[in-house]
Amino acid sequence: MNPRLAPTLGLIALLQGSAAIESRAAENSESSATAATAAWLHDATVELGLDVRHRTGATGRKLLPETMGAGGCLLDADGDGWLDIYLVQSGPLPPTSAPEAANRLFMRRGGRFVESDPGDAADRGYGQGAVCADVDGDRDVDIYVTNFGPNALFLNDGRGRFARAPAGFGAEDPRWSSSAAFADLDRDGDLDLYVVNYVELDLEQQPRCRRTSAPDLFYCHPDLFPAAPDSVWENLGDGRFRDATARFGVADTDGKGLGVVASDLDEDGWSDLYVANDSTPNFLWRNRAGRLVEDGLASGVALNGAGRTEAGMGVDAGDADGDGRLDLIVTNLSLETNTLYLATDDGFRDATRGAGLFAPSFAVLGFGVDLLDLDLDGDLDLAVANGDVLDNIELLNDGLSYRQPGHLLQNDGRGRFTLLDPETTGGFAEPRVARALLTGDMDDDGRPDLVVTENGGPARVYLNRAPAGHWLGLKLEGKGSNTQAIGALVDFDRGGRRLVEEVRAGGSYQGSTDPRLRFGLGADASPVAELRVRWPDGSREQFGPLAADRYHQLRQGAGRAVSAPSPR
Amino acid sequence: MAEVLADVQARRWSAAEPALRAALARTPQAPVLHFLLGESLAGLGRRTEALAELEQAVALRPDRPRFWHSLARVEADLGQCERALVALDRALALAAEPVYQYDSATCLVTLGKLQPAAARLDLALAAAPRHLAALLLRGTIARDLGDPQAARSFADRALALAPLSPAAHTARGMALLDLEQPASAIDDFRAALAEAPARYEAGYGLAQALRALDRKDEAAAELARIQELSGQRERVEELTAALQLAPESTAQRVELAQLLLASGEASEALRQLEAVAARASADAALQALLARARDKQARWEP
Repeated sequence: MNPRLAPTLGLIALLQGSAAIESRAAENSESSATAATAAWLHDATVELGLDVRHRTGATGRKLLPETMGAGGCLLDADGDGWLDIYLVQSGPLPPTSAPEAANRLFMRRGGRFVESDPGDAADRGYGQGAVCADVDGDRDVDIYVTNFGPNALFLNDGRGRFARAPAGFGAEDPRWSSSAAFADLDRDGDLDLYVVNYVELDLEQQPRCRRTSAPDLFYCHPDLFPAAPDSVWENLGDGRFRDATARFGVADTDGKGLGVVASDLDEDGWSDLYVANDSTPNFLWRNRAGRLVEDGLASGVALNGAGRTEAGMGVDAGDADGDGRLDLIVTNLSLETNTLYLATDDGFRDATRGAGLFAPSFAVLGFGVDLLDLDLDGDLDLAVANGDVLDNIELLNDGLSYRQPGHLLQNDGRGRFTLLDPETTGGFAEPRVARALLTGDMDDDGRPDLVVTENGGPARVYLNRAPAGHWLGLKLEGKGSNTQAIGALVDFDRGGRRLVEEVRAGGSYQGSTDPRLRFGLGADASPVAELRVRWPDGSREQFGPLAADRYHQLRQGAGRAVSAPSPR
Repeated sequence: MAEVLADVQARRWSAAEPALRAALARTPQAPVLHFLLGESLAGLGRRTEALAELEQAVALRPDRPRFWHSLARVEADLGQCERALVALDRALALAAEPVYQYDSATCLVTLGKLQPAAARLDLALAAAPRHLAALLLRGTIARDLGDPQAARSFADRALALAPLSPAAHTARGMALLDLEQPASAIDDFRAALAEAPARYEAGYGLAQALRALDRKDEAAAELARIQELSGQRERVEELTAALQLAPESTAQRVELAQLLLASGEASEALRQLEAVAARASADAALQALLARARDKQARWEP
C-alpha cells in the first residue's frame, strides 16, 4: 500500500472506489492566506539542498550537442510518496565515461533533497533528457535516458536503485535523441515508447560555423545536418522493447525533433503524439487504432498561422481556453513566437496572437513549457523556461541575450495570458540559460512546483506560493502493467465548464513530470460530485463525490463503470 | 566628384569605392565622403567597413539626419537594432521624417517591442497617411497584439490605396481569419493569389479558411499546391544568405528578384534588380524584368 494513504481512510471513500490521500498542506509553513502578498514562486534550491550543476563539456569548438541539454524527471523513485529528482548530466564531449558525466538522483529525505546512488542510472553517456514511468509493471518507476549516443533504460528495484536493462532490451536508439514519451500506443496494456531524434551529427566532421556579420564561431544551424528519424518501440509486456517504428507507420520521417507529448487530442481513446521539430514541420501522429498517421499539416499544427515552419523546442497539451478541449503549445526560437494551437471542430488553429502570447515570446527562446494551474483558479496558466542556444547571440542581434528570463503567464480564464511581473516570480524571471521545466507538487499542497535545469548551470527548485484556490488531486492506478495509468483522461463538470487532464509520461522538453493530476477549483471548496475516468484501455468509470484540497487514489475497476463517452 | 556622386546614385558601388577612397586620402575630414563611402560599402555588403565610415561621418557632422539614418540602417542590418534606434532617435531629433519613424518601428518589431513600434508607426502615418508599408506593418502589429479588428482596419486602408496589393489582401485575409470570418478571408486570399500565385502565406491562409468552412478537399488541394512552393521560399532564404556573402553575384540576385516578384514583393524585387542594373544596364533581359517589376510595383504599390 502506498504509505501516503491515510490510515483513517473513510469507508465511504473506499466504497466509491477512491481513497483520500491526506494532504500535507497543513505541514507547509506558508499557507495561501499568507501567500496573498508573496511572490508566486520561492527559490528553495538552497534550503532544500539541491546542489547540482549541468556540465556541457564545451571547449570552444561549438559542438551543437553542448547547447541543447539537459533535462530530467520528477519521480517517486523509492515509493515513499514524495517526489524525487533525477537530473541528466552531459559532461565531456565526445563522451568519456568520466565521473562528472554521471546522471544524478536526489531523494526527498526529511524535507530536503539528499543525493542518492541511483546504481546504473548514474549513466555516463552524453545525456540529453529522461522520461520516467513503470515500464515493466512492477509498480515502481523506471527511467529511460536519451543521449547523444545510445539511449538506456534503467529498471528500478523499488527502493530507488536502478539496474541497466540487459543488452537487447530493445530501445537502445543509438542516434542523437532529445525527448521521449511513454504511452500505450497499441492499447495492449503496457507502455510503448516514442523517441524523438534530432539530427545526424559526426562530431569530427561538424563544420565550423560563422556568420557574415561576425567573425566569431557560432553553434551551427540544424539546417546544416540531415534529420535523424524518430523511432517507436513496442513494449513486449515486461519492459523489453522491439523496434516497431515501421509497424506503427512512422518510417522515413525527416523531422528534426526536440520535444514530444503524448495526448489523446481527439479523445477517441487512443494516445496521439505531437512532436516539436526544429526548423522542419511539426508532426501530429494521429493514432488510428494503433497505427500512427501523420496529420500535422491538415490539422493546422505543422506550421504557424502564416504557414511557416518554426524552430520547435518544447511542447505541452492542455485546455488553454477553457472550452473543454485539449490544445497545444510549442516553444520556439527567438524572433518567432511560442505558438498556441487551439482545438477546433476539425483540428487546430494558431491562436497565439489572440492569446496575448506574441509579444512575450518573440524576443526569447523557449524550451521547457507547461500549461498548469499555478494559482488553482480553474484555468491553466503557462510557465516557460527560456535561454538562447547561441552563447554569443548578441553579436548577431543586440536586442537578444543568451541568458533570458523565465516566464510565468496568468490565464484570464478565457485563454488570454498576461506575463506576470518579474517581481512576483521569486527569481524564476532571473535571466538564465534554462532548458527543461519539470513540474510537480513537491510539498503536497496542491500547487504545482517547478524544477528548472540550466545548460551549463545549476538546477533550481521553485516552490509555488501563489495565492491559490481550492483543488482536487488524483493519483491513478491502472490495471495490468501500465500501473500508473499513463494515458488516462479525467474530466468533470464544474461551474458550467468541463475540466480535463491526462496522465502523461513525457512532455515539455527533455523531461517528465509528476504523474499525479491536479485540478484547480477556485473559491469553491465543495466536493467534486462526480468525475469520469477514461482509462488507457478505453474503459470508462465514474468516481465521486471527492473532497477538495487533497489527493485521492483512483483504482481502475473500483469506480462505477459507464459506457458513454464524456461530453466534450 | 560629380562622377562619383553619379556612381553612388546609380548604385555603382564598385566604381564609386576607389574614387571615394582617393578623395578621402586627399581630404580625410570630409564628412560627406565618409558618408558616401559608407553607403557604397553597405551596398557591396561590407557592412562592418561601412559602419566605420558612417560613424566617422556622424562624428564629423552630427547635425545631418541622413547620416544618422544611414548609420542606423547598417547597424540594423548587422543585427544591432538597439544601437540603430539610438541613431534613429538622433535623426528624428533633427528631422521628423516618416521614414525614420518607420525604420524605428521595424527595429522595435525586431526587438519584440510592439507597443512602441505601433506608436512610431502612428506618428509616421500621421505625417504620411498614404505610407503603404507603414499601414501594412501597423496592421501586422495590431494583429500580433491580438487586435484583429484593428488589423483589418489598417488592411482596409492599405487596400484603399492599393486595391491590387497582394500583401494588403493577405493581411486582411489573415485578420478575417482571426475574426472567424473565413468566407470573407477566402476572397482576399484568392485576390492575393490572383496577383501573386506564389504568395505562400496567402495560399496557407486560403487552406486554413477552406478547412474552417469544412471544405476539406479544397483545403487539401491548396495545401498540396503550396507545398510545391515551399521549395521556392527556401530558395529565397538561401539566395538572401548567399548574397550577403557575395553581393555582386548577378545571377543569384536576378533569381531572387524573380522569386520575390512571383510572391508579390515588387519593391524588394525592384531593389534587387536595380542593384544588378547598376552593373549591367545594357542587358535586354534584365531591362525587360525591370520593366515588369516596375509595372507590378505601380500596380501593387501605387
